[in-house]
Amino acid sequence: MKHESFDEWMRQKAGAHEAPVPADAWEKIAGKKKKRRRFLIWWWIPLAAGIMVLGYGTWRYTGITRGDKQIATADKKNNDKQKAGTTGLQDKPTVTVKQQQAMLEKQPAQTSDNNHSERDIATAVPGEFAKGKTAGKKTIQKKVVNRIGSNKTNDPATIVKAPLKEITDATEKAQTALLPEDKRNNRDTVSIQKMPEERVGHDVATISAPEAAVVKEWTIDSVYLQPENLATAVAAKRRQTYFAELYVSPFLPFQQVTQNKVSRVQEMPLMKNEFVSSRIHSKPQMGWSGGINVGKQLNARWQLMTGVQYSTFSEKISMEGREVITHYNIVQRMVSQPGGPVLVNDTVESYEYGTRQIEALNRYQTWSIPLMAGYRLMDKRGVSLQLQGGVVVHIARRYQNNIVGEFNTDDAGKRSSAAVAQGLDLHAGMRLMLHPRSRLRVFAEPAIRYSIMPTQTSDMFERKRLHQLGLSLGLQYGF
Amino acid sequence: MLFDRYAGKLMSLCQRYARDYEEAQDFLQLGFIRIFEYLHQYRGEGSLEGWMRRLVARVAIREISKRKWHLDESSIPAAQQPVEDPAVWSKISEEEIHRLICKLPEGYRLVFNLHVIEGYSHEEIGELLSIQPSTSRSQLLKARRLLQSLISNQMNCVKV
Repeated sequence: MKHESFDEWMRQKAGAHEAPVPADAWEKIAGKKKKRRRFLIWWWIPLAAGIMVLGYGTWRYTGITRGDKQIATADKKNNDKQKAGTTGLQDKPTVTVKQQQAMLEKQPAQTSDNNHSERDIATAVPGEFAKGKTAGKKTIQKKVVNRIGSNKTNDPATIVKAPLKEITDATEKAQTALLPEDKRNNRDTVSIQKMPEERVGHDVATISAPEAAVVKEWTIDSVYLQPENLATAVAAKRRQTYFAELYVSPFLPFQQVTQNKVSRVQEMPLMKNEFVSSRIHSKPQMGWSGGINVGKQLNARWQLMTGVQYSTFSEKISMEGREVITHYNIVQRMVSQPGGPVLVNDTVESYEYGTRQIEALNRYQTWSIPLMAGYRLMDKRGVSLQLQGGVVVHIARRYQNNIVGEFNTDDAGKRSSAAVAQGLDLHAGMRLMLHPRSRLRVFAEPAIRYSIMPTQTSDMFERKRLHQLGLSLGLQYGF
Repeated sequence: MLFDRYAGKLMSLCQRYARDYEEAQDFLQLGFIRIFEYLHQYRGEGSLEGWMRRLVARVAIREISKRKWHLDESSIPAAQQPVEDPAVWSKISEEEIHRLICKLPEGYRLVFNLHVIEGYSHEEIGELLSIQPSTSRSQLLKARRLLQSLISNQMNCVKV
């Protein structure tokens, strides 16, 4: 028979063949489809959570920065004035409260936003603030929305929010760092303070007339903007902005679900080996992970970080099951033909049955991306305590299976596969940090990882849901 | 229903690619999941069955390529002189043909399935299996001979 006709004949025969389909095939397919859908949902949940956390962090950070710019402008104006010949705020020409009132009342129509035009007169003693003190017991605080302003931005007596102006990064950071937590969130308020008589000597507080707008800001934050604090603030803030860390973490994996059944088939020349086991004992061994993270300190308490992590651990598997070895023996058989009997080759199968104990060692190597958030609970005397939480997304996994004493190493004795993997762990830990140097920190973090989406590669018998209990030890360096 | 209509034929296809029944079941599952995922991309060009077969075959090849496989010729019995009588050939059932194809060594079987039954060219097979087209041709030739020999044996055994 020619090749073409043989191929055509085979195509017809094989193409028309229908094999019996297992009864539960459709259920399995439907189940897998559901799982896939569920997987997609699970995949998007952490992604959405990560985006939300990042978005919140960015929003929070940019909010702080914007406020800082406004305050920084005030600071810069003040510095400009000092450079222009004044020796300080106390030396500047002063106006009385009444004078200021009169000046403001002359310009009612210049208020840019009448809805928020509660006008008050700023009174302050910058010299007192320079000493880092508040104005005294009689301090009255009123909240005025910042939109009070004049179209004439140069008008010295108008309470106006200073225009945004780019200033040096160092100054900006310094101001943010120096602000206490409650002040940062209330930067849109202005406190109007009345000085005690015993300090001022009369009801009139000293104020620089051209600096009215500036003083308005100074009444809130002047205590934090003094030049003597600036260098420290810059250094402190710089330390906290970005950081990188290197860590190693021994951990103990433990699994929630055990395997139920394993079957493996080995095909060798003239032999076939089938093993089915339903008694499987798994014992995960101690593993370790390590990685690099980079992060950002959002404020005094919150930080976000991400990086790359490598982890590896082994698992001892003990299986007991039934083994069937099929031997294919080629024999010659006498066949009667029209021309006389002829010898033809034939195959005879013989079987061996028995119980076999298999000891195997599985090794897993995983690459992951952690997305973490930290919340500082305490920071005293060079020691800080921080809550860590987030997700660890597994992106690739290498799986190696090594059966101890396997006589055939050709196929099943050692198996190895590396593949893109999908898996997700929730991470929670408590980090204790020591600050031996200004930029360097040492930390230890006992943590638990709960696997919410088990990781699997193609060669694994079954999905494993492995949780981890570990202790991370590492170094953190601030930039 | 799509599954009821084509599952038998696709299971047969999967068995021809798989090394055992369990693996064939896996191929079928993965294949149908892939079919349902990409069904909207079927544009009516060619038969639906042909499209499904090619999709499932690709899934099977992808899964096979994940594990180690090789063109092992040590276990191949010597090819006999094939029976040339068309009357004899016609007696062989589809089931027997299917079983004989499954008996082929993996390398032969893959090339034979892809070229003869699914209609892939040797160049396409070379890309799919990461082998040279010339290797695919030689594998096909050997597979064809061996299969003819197995069929001849089968016919002789039937006569015993």
